[in-house]
Amino acid sequence: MSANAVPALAIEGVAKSFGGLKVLSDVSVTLGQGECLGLIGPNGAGKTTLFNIVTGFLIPDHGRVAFAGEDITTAKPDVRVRAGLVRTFQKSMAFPELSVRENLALAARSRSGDGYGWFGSRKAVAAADEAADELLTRAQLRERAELLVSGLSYGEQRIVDVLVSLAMRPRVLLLDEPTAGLSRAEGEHLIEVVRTLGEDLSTILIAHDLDIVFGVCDRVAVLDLGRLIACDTPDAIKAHEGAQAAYLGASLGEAA
Amino acid sequence: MSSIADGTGRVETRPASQRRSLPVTAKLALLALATAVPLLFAGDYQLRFLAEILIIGTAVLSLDLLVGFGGLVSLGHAVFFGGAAYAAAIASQALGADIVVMLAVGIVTGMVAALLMGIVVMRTIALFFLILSLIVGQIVWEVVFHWREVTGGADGLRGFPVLTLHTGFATIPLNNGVALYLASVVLALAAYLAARSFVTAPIGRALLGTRERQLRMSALGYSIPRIRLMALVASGAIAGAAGALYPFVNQYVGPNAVHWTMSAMMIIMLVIGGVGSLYGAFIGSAIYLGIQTYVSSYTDRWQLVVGLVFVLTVMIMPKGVVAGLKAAFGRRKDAERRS
Repeated sequence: MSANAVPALAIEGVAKSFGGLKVLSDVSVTLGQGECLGLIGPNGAGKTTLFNIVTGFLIPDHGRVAFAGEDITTAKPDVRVRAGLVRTFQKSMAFPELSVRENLALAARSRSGDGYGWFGSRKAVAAADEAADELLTRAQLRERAELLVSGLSYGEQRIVDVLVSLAMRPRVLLLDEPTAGLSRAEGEHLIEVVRTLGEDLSTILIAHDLDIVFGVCDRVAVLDLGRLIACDTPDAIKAHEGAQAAYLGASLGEAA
Repeated sequence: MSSIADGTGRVETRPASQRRSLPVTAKLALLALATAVPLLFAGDYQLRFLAEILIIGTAVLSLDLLVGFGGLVSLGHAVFFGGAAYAAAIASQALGADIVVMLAVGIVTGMVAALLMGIVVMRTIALFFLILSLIVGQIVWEVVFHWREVTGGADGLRGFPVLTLHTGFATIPLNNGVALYLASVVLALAAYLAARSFVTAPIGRALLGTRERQLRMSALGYSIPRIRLMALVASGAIAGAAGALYPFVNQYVGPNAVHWTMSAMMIIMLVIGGVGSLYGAFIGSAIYLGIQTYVSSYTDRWQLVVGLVFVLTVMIMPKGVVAGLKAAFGRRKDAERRS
């Protein structure tokens, strides 16, 4: 990222408290165009809260959030989503009783503004189905299109969940522990899907599997007790003492 | 690629060629036959009774949009139906009872009532939706009950002009069982097709999404209040169309038509017939009204029979009578094939 390019996402001095509990204090971090930023930290460090603030599910007490240079600190979630700022959730949030294709089409229609059509929506429905099938084909899940999501394996459900987000054609994608509960191979496959299908996509990835984070991210930010204690290249983070100390359970140096 | 709804509000998205399904002409022929049979064998009274089943069934169908596809159980649904019935009854005194005018009055009344209720309830779900819709419904009931000059108060309204159909060169009076029955068949069919197109269209899919995962729908950029409001208004329009014909078939409309017990009756019909199936609304209405009409001539305790049927349905066939019987027969066939 060149110095004067507008960052895909800029988080500036964000703070949030719930009652007396300070969850985030003065967090500033930027996401460059096309960059993959890892976000790590122990449970309760404030990672998901930061996602909630960026996506508009929470409004920060202080600070601002800018999306492609535009202040969106108080914008509603649906406005941000349609602008291309999309997230996934810790739990799989695919619609279990809808088919795989319908899951993706629901997102594609929201993106194209056809989400509320009734009569005369045949074309919009066909276009969304087509977009869904194309994504599924590229993710090598085309033969699963007609199955209900509830009938898929957990790993496939997580991939469908991510594909639903990709069907929104995001410019920035926030992935909240997409690999949790997956095997190493499944997790790597999921990340691979995101990297190959998301064109010009900037991502922030929360994951506990440090091998994955250090393997795919350009930079890694470390949160601890609501503070950003480091944000640097994977190699620098591995050597960072504060980051090591914060990540009590895991030894950063050993993760490679 | 076509899609149809099944018993759970799911949509079948397999290509038509892979489904065991009758061709359209065969379906139309069956439908015509099913419509014609009562004309040959039923008397005027039975035809009027069938018309009532179809009209109430249409109202229940509109409720299925909310309950089966939006997870929104309303105890105020009678307001759309009964409100439209009152509006048509009152309008007919001044405008005459042209069926097209009556339907327009009913549909608009149902939509406006749904819009007003929607503004109150669209941000709520589950118990809060239930209670708020109940409260709005009971406010309307109070107004109807006490506004004697317009609604007839507790006595209700009766003595309407004859319902008519203008065809351009002749005016057909719809004052006998045959005509009212046929008008109700057309109403029920149109309502069913409208509801089916709603649930397979993007808006219906979005409604299903809000039922399944509200948070995810917001994260996909959908406005949940907007989806709920649209579903309510569509539901109100269908219930209103049904309500518009009700006074002319029933020859009376009273405050019970907007009372919460009417809404509860519709929910019971829907559960018996099958939530989320659309067609189950008519089955449930037929079973309930059948018990009410025929069992009540033997005993005053007909509601006990309805209650028993309801409990048995919920326990044995939670997807409704039709889906339950289908599953039971399917199992037997499978067993035969295996043996």
